[in-house]
Amino acid sequence: MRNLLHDRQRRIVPILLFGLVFSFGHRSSLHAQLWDQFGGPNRNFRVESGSLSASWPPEGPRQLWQRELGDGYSQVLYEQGRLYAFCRRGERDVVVSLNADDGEVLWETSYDAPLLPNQIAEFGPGPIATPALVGQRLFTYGATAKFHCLDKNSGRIIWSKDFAGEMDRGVGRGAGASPVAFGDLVIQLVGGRDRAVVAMDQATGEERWRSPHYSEGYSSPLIGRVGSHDLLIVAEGTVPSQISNPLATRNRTALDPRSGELIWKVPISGGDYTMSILDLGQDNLLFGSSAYDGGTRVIRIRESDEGSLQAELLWSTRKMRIAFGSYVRLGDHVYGSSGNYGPTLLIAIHVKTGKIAWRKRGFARASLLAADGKVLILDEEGSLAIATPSPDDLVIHSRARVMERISWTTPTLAGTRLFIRNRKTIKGLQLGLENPRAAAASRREEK
Amino acid sequence: MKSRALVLSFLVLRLAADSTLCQVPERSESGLTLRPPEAHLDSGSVFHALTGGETQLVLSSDAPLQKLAATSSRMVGYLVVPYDVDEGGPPIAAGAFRIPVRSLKTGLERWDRALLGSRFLDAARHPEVLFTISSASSFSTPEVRGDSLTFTVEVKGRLAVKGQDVELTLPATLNLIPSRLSLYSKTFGDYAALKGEVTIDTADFGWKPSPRAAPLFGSRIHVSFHIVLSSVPPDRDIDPFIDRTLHARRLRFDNLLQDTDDPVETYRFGNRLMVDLWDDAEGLQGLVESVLRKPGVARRNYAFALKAAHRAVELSGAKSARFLTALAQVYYERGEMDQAISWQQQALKEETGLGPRGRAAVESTLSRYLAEARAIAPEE
Repeated sequence: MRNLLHDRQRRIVPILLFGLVFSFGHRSSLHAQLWDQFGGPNRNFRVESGSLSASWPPEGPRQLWQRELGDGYSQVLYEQGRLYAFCRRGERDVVVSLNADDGEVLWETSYDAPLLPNQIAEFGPGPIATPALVGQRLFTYGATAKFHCLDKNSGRIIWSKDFAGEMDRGVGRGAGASPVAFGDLVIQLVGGRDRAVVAMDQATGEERWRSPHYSEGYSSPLIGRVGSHDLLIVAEGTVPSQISNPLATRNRTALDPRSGELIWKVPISGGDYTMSILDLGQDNLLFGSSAYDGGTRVIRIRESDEGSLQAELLWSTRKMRIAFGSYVRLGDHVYGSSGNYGPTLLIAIHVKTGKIAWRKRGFARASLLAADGKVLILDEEGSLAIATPSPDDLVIHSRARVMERISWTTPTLAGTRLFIRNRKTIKGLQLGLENPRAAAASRREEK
Repeated sequence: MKSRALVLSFLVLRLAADSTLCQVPERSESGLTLRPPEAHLDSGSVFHALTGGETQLVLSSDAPLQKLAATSSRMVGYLVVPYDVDEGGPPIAAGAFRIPVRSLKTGLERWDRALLGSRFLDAARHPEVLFTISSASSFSTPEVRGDSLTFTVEVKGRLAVKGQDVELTLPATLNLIPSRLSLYSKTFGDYAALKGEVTIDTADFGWKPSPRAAPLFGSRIHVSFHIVLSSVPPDRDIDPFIDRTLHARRLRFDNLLQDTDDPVETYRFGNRLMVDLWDDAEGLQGLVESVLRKPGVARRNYAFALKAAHRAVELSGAKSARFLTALAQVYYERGEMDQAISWQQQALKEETGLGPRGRAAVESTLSRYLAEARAIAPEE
């Protein structure tokens, strides 16, 4: 009898162990396949992925599918085999869920969103902000300042708010800050007097707090943690009426995400037309860069012995000015595309010192994301490259034109599949290592 | 054998001479910038001369009995400023410029013509003055004002006039001003401004006035330059959705009109462009306005402008006052007063949507046409 039990244990234990390993591995691979907000799961354009092939054929990585989408620049979200895209057709904002395997529409919801009277649509009518996927809900913020909460499975609108309709404001070139979630709140930078940053209950839309006056901008707020403090970090923008006022202050601020209470504020001198993407490193260095007459600034945040937080400008430089593309921080260096209407350069800059490590020509304004020890670079001309960055150099492994200009949206990487969009089209590409014969056969089938 | 050796020697010497000649990169497709070589692009930030705006160059002679000053605002070219110029080192890595001889204007028509002639600048054979910068040294730390830097520099380069080129060393000031919102009316880029003066001896370029002519012509030319440059090329349109090729060709047409004296090539190019713009009313209107109104155009071909203007009016359904008045002006320039008056009157119709000020301007021009028509009508 003892031997029989022992035998069964000997069979069961490995099965249990295998199950545990598989489930852990599966959860981590699931987590690796998630893009649920602006900048990916950690809002920093760094994602886990499968092994990405560094060698592409001349025509580029294999295209899985392509379909018409609609106008806009919002990043595409991914979760569990589904894509969520936010676009615009005519006078309506459209939220659509697609099957990531083949691009087929799973559901589509739209609502009227006529341009606001003073809205400037020279770069298109949007949407600009990337939605946020939180639990069963999808939160969107359109260029006309309409905020929606939808059911992610059906597209049903659960609640909505019209910030432009309630308050008299202009959206400039379109409301562009992406919403961010904290606990049971969804937080949106709206901008303007008395309604600057608004925190809403995710389930009901009930307003829980609102910060005082802010200048609206296109920079998306960031949730971070320094010591024992949760922070909502906001880059204040430039009110159109203040653009020419060199004395107008623009601030990097940190609020308590639970209450909206100000924790610290660092004034930014001079012009800073803020489209800055913010990144908070483990070393509590806050990096942000903007174009025009902005520049790159790093703010150091420190927790005092008493537990309070202080923030100060560590360094600033105008040698790196990122227009709207995403950048990545790897180790002590940030890699990004600097330049606006003049020449653009890929630049590596040391986060602690501001020293430029290298500069490279060859790409138009570009967005970067990091995965598998490499960076993917998509420039506005639709050229995609995979490269290995280091403080010494950038080694480009492969490059191909995969999209029509203008490709301003950072692609979404889920596993080894890359989803890219421009103002008309969305497509899926396979970046993983593939059996060459199977890949070639697949291409022949597509033709 | 001897004659063959002589010919070969001559060729070798000629090649050797050519290798020291001022080598300036070709113009870009639009004609408003130059194409820096890869080595220059890798050396630092390229700043492009803003052409067609303010005066960039003033040349004046030292003749005791005649003061001539020729100006140009049509210089194209670039400077390369090393990326980390604030950390020391030469403030200019390279540069090159082309100055259309035809763009030099004295304000006196006979002297403008004379300057182009073979006796002076010989524009037919040498349509451009060329200047290249090989190096620049700064002998002191730059002056810092906010985020702007000012260097006092000594620029070394070569100047080529009428096929003759000489080495030049000239003192200059280089201002570097980063982009700022208050300067966006000019351009969106970072700025550089190179200013300086130099006096050159005309004998270096093979021209020496006779003793009798010297009091009138002088033998030295004082050159004063103030070149404003931007990191955004002047042919870059910030509209990201524009058809860049068509935009560059559009600019190229203006460039041919204003900076060359080759109406055959200019309007051959223009005709090809018109074909591509045939369904684009605004594009066609742009061609009309260039022929009608751009300054310094050697040959305004009104038959060309008439074709484009009629098509623009047709495409707009005769509802654009701007298109209609341009068509009227073309007829006016051709001396066809009846047509000019008729089209100008058309512009006053309600459907063209003129506001009060626009209406007043159109009416004023119409009055002028009517008065001229009456004045030149044969007396009864």
